[in-house]
Formats: sequence, C-alpha cells, structure tokens
Amino acid sequence: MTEKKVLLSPLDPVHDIGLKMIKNALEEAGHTTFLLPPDVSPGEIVQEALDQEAEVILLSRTLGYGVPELMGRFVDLVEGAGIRHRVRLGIGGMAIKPELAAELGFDQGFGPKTPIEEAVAFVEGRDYVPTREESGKEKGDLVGERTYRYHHQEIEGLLDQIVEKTLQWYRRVQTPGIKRALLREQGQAGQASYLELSGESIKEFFASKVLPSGLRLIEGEEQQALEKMIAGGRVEHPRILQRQPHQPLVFIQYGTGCPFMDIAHIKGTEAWGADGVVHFDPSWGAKTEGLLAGLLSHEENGSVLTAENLALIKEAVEPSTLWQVRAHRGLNTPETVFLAGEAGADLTKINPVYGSLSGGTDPERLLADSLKAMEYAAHYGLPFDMPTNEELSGVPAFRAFAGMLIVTHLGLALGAQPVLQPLFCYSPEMMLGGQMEDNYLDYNAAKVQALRGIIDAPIWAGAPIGFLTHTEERVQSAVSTSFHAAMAASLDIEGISIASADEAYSGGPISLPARIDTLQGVGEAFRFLGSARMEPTSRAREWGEELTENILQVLREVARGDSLLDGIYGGLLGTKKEGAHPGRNGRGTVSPG
Amino acid sequence: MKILGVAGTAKNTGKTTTTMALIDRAVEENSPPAITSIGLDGEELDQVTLLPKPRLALPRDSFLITAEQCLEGGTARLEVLQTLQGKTPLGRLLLTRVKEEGRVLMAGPGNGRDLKEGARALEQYGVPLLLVDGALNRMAPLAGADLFVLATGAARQSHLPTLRRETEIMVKALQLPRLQPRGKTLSSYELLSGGSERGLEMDSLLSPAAVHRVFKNGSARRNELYIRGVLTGEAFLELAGAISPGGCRLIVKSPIHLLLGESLPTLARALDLWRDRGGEIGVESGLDLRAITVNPFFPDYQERGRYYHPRYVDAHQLQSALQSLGVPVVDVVREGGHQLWAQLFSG
Repeated sequence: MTEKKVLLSPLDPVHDIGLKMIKNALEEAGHTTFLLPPDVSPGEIVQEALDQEAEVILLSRTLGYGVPELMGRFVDLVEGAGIRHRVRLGIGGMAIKPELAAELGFDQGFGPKTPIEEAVAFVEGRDYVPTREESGKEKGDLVGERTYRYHHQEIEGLLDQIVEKTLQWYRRVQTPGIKRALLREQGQAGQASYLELSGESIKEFFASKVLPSGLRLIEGEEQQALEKMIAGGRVEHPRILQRQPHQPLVFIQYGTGCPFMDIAHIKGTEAWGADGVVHFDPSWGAKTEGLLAGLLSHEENGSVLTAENLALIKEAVEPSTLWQVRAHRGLNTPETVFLAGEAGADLTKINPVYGSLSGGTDPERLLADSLKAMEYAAHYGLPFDMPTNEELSGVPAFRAFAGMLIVTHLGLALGAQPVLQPLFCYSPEMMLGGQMEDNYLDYNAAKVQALRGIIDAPIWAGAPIGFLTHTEERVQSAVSTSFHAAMAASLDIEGISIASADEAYSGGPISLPARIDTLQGVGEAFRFLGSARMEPTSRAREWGEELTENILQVLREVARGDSLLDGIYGGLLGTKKEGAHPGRNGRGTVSPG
Repeated sequence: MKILGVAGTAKNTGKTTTTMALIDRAVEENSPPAITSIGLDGEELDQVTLLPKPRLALPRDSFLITAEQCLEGGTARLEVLQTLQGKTPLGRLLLTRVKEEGRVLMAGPGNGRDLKEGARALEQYGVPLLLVDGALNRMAPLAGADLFVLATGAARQSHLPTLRRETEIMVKALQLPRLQPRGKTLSSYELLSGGSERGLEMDSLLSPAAVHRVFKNGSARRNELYIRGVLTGEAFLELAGAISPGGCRLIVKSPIHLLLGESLPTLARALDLWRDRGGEIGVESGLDLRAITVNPFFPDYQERGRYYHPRYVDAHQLQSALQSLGVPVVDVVREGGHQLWAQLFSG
C-alpha cells in the first residue's frame, strides 16, 4: 500500500466528527492527513490541496439550499486547477448517495453509517470488501441450544398424562385434512380422490378452472415480470439489527395477497434487517377444505397457499432469511405443513388450542390435523411456534399458556421442535386486572419467567409485540414496538414478531416505510441496550409465580379429565365468558381411522 | 465528430430539456446522436429537491455513455459496446448503443479527461455528434466542447435584472478573444519586458493571497502573463490592482477557467479594471457559445418545511431580459428545438 496525502474538509461543523474518525483511521493506516477547520471556501480547499500536493480530498457537508452548486464549483475548481486526474474526490454526509455523488462529480459518496474502513479503502484505491459482520448475515436459529428439559417436574408429569391419552386418541382417528395431505404426498392433489375430500370452490376450480371471487391467475408477461423482480431484487448486504448474540431474531409478517407487493415487502424488510418473514394466508382459506393450485393473486388481505405461490416466495427470500408458513388454525393444517416442508420453509406455526378457541376450527378436527402437521414438521425439521393470541379475546395468560405447554409436549412427543409464543400485549386481562397500570414490563417479564421456570424451550414473543399498545400515530407505534423489543432482548428470548408502525390503524394496506420505521426503532433499541438489561420490579417475580401456580392448576384439571378435548370443549383452556368459543368449521368430520 | 456541451448556470436551468430537444431534432435529421452527461440524468426525481425531473428517452441506434449501475435504470434496451477506463460512483463507464428505444438513466464522465476518452471511443462508430448534458453549474469538463450552449433561467436567479447582469458577464467571459501564448513552458509563466520568461510559483490563482504570494514585485513590466489553471474573479481583481497591466497580454487557458470564482460582479470589475489600466485579455482555447436557453422554472425553497416548491417566472419576460446580449436566446419548451438546431449548425 502506498502512503497517500489526504485532505479532509468539514464544510459544516456538524460533520466534523465523521471526518475526525476517518482521519484517525487513515493515520493508523500510515497515511498523511490534513484536516481543515470548518467553513472554508472551495477555493481555499483547492489551494490547500495544491500546497500539500494532496492525492485525495474528502469533504463532508449537509445538503441544503445552494449546496449542490457549491459542490459543483468545488469539483470544477479541482479540474480547472489541473489536478483532477491525480486527486480523487469523496463526499460524505447525511443525504449522500452514489447517485448524488455522481451528479456532483465526485468519485465516491459516503452516506450515513458508512464504515470507516470503506473510506480508507477509497483512499487506498481498492475495492471495499465488507467485513463478515457487515455483510455475512447468516440464517438465525430459533431453537439454538435449548434442551427442552423441564424444570417443573409436576407439570412435566401432568403433561405426560395428557399427551399419552391424546396420542392414543390420535392413532385411532382420521380427518379429510389428514387424508388430503397423504394424497398430496402421493402426488394426487387436485385429482378425483382429493376433490372428494375438498370443498365446493376447490372442486369447481379443478373442474372448470373458475377461480373463487377475488383471485386471479398470474401468467405470461406478468409472471416474467415477477421473476425479473426477484432476480433484480437481491439484498446484497442486509442490515443486522442485533448488537449482541442474546438479542432476539426479528420477524415481520407479509400477506398482501399480491405476489409483487409481498416480494417488495420481503425485500424491503430484509434490507432493513428483518431476520424472518411470516406468510399470512387469507382467513377464508382456513375455512375451506382443500387448496387451490397455480400462481395466484388475491385482491384482499392474505396470500393464497399454493405450491406455486410458496415456490415463488422461496425464490425471493434471501438465504439468510427465516421463512415461516403458518398452519395453525384451519382445515388444511397438515397439507400446509407438508407444502411448507416441500417448499423449503424454515418454520411453521401450529396451535390447535388457539386455532380452535379463537380461530374458528372445531377443536377435535384441529387437534387431529395439528398432530399430523407436527409429524410433518418433525419430518421436515421445521420448528413450529404456538401463538397464544386467545389472550386477545380475553383468555387469561395462564390458561393460554397451559394450552401452549400441552401443545409443546405433544410436539416433543412427535419429534418436533416447538417454540413458545407468549404475547407481549396489553391484553383485556391486563386492562381489567390493572397489572399494566404502572408499566408494560413487569407482567410480560412474569410471563417469560414463568415459562422459563417450567421448561428450557425457545421463546418467540408475538405476535406482534406491543399488541394493543399501538395507536394511529406512527412514531408512537414504532417507539412502543422498540421498547417491547428492548424488553425482549432483556429477557433473553429468541425471537420477536413486530408490526409495522401503521399496522394497527392503517385503514388500508400497510406500507413499507412504516415497516422500516419499526425495524429502525428495533435496531436503535438493540443498539441502545447492547448487553445492558431492562430491569422489572419485584412484582414480575410474584406474578410469574402466580402464573406458574395457575398453569399448574389448569393442567391438573385437564389431566383429571377423560381427554384433552374434553378440557378444550369444557373451557379449561379458555371459557366462553373469557371469549374462547370452540370453533365449528370442520365439526363432525373426524372419523375412526 | 463534434462535441456539443449543454452547460447550466445552476440546477434546474433546463439542461436536460435542451438536450432532449436536440435529440429530437437529430432524429428528424436521421442522425441519431451519442449522448452522455457529466452528472446524473434521467432519474424520476431530483436528487436534491425531490421534485420531478424530465425523463430522458433515446431512440434506437443512438449511442449512450453511462455507468454500469444505470443499465437497468431505464426501459431502453442497451447493447454494451465497450467498457471505458473512467469510473463513477455508479460504476465503470460503458459505451452502449440503444437497441430498443426507451427511457435511460445516464451517469456519464464526471471530468474532462473521461469525457475525451468517451468521445475518442465513439469516433470509430462514425457518430457525427456527441451531446453532453451538463450537471448543476458545472462547466469544467465541457472546456473541450466544440459547440457550447448555456442553459440558464430562474433557478439561477429569479430576479430578472440580476440574471441579465450575471449572464452578460458570463457571455463576455465566454466570448473573450483567443490569444496564442508566446511562452515556451507549459506551466503558468510571465514574460517580462526584457524578454525573459519566468515560471510562476502556482498554476492557479485562486485568491487575492495567492496573487501576493506569486507577484512579489508589482511594478515589474510584463509583456505577457499566462495562467494555465484557474484565475478566479477575486484573484483577478487583486492582480489588476497589484501589478501593472499596461501593455500586458493576460492569457487564461479557457473562459471556464475565469468563471470559477465566487462572484461574477467581481470578475466583471476585474475585467474592466484590467482593460482600463491598459491590459489586454484573451483565452488560449475559446468556447463557441452558440445559444442561451432559458427555463422559467425554479424550485422555491421553503425554509419552514424544508422542502422545495415548484415556481415559475414569466417565460416571455425571462427571454426578453436576456435578449441583446449578442447571443440567440431560445426557450425550447415554447419554441421547440428547430431554432436552436439552426443556431448550432448553420455555418
């Protein structure tokens, strides 16, 4: 490396610090630097460059009215003075992008958060190779070193009893959903035997190619445009939000119905640091027996589950992104996990308790289907999370957690890797009980402490964190999300799902800039905390112990009953009064197997 | 091949609109031109004001010099003919040919040397004309252009009498006579009345302080003074007072080398003082200023909201204000490109 003479000029004082850091790095690398005071004129800078025989000039300047012309005159002066061929020009500042640097006539532009090393590489005339930390984003691992060992022996014993009875029941039953999944495994999706087990709209589609209302097939030029969009939309250096290994992976949800929009949201959020994306399907899909086929666009919320749609998304997501396909609440649960596994998804979502108490599907049907889905999840190595969104209906956390722990134990018994998903939310239980009157931290910490005290399992808070704390005001929503993310980092949990800043009150499609708001907010929260922690008050421990005791009581009651289904129908995991209503979709479709 | 430079006096003075009018005219002449920019053109929104910019469309068989990362930025299908040596923040410069017409994004050579390399590369394809769209108020890369159009307007100065005064000074500088340096050295020098040639300490005189650094003996008689680099108006005014201009030919490399100072009125005062004190001034390489184009648009900066609002001065008044400077004044939006084309290529 040849030593260079570098002139650095902060054209406004606020950018002094960036240049000073670069100056230090350049001197450490053996270069000679000349740092000018702020507010010198272009002519003075060029004069200094001539006097010092500078080989590189680095300027920093905030853009403002008349500044581009000032910069243009500076570059012209360098050329007019006859030294442009031997002096390389770089400009940095808040609004600087490569396009603007080209417009101004500089050789390179350095935007905010440019690594110092990039400026050094520019001075030395070599290509900048981002360090592994800057570019080498690797796919996250939600399960990690979690052992699934129980710390609470009585709860483990109760769960053993419940699971044993449930699996015995499962071995004796069949459902249309399970049968369709098996047919799909054999390559018979869409064929007569499959259609016999499917709803009318599915039959009609395969018979006459008439799509249900609101759906449209993407083909020809439109499909080519999608493929072009994917090919041209790679995210080369996705941002890494986490500053410390213990900080959680960050998930966003997509499901606009439109593949173009979905891909735009996925690529945009990947670039801004999302570690994982969750596929949201339409709510009608959960109520329909059977799945459609083809590359489909849906004009309403929810992206349709077909092998082709999933293959497209798989093509679009970066290798470093975790991709989850939900299967937790409908009549196509086993098929969905099979499709997800075949498509190369990383995660799925299964919770027959929540799906049947707040998702509209009959408990008996969804339980049988979910167990088959867990077998697929185990086969394809897809960890599955269990949302406890019944809390939003008013079910107390301890009941929702009891259900989640039963599902966890079922999953473990079938060889899968369950991921606990408590809600970080301002739930109706909290509103009525006042546990969040003082702060949002204590009760959420109590939830995590309770779960951690029972089992060493991964935790992914959701979904999204801060549910019911968001308002129509975007800054407030992003800030609330980032505080909840800071709390998640403090509690050493593995993952969080975040909303966009306009999700709760968008009044329409959520926007990518609002997604970036929250990703930025979460990144700032992680940056702010580093290895420090938020500290809950002593009430968190008290409430955690209370939660554990209540979970234990529920599990004792469920274990005492004849079956898990009796417990669900009977309200042990959520009563009608609390807002848990056993669903009706698929009722009466479970038959002896 | 002729190089036609469209230089602006500021952002948003209509350089790209002028360039587009000339492209249209060239197509009518069945002579698809080659195009490039010394900045960035063809993007949807201005990089600074975020106001919409004129898009740039190129016909089939025209040539384009642009940076690697701009290839996918438009709708035109481009064939890469050659990778050039020059680099920009958007990648290496490429010489391309338009295979299917459409919009293009153009980030061309940011300096005169890379522009010349691009022009040389084009010659093998028999292209008769290279149109160079300027950037901001930048002119230096266009010093070697064969034909020169100055784009100005309300974005430079919305007070029309001031705009006229500034333009008049620029035109005077751009039309300075050509003088052949007599000296033997390539650097800046002075020929003393005794016949001796002495190199100057600096090629450029950027400030009054530089004048005093270089010319310690103000009373010496000089026959010729050659400034190879920049002579700013501020340094020139100091020079005109500090030394004896009487009988001295002051030769500056090009008019552009005189126009890079902070203040045009200072340059005007310096020119007057130099001549009043008996000096002669000229340029080694002239620019063939063929026309001035005008744009009534200006981005009005709203300090409170920190955004730009599009505004306009009266187009007729603008054009009238700049008449009688001895250079044709054209509003290509109202008049089209025919008149401008005629001014450029008649005779």
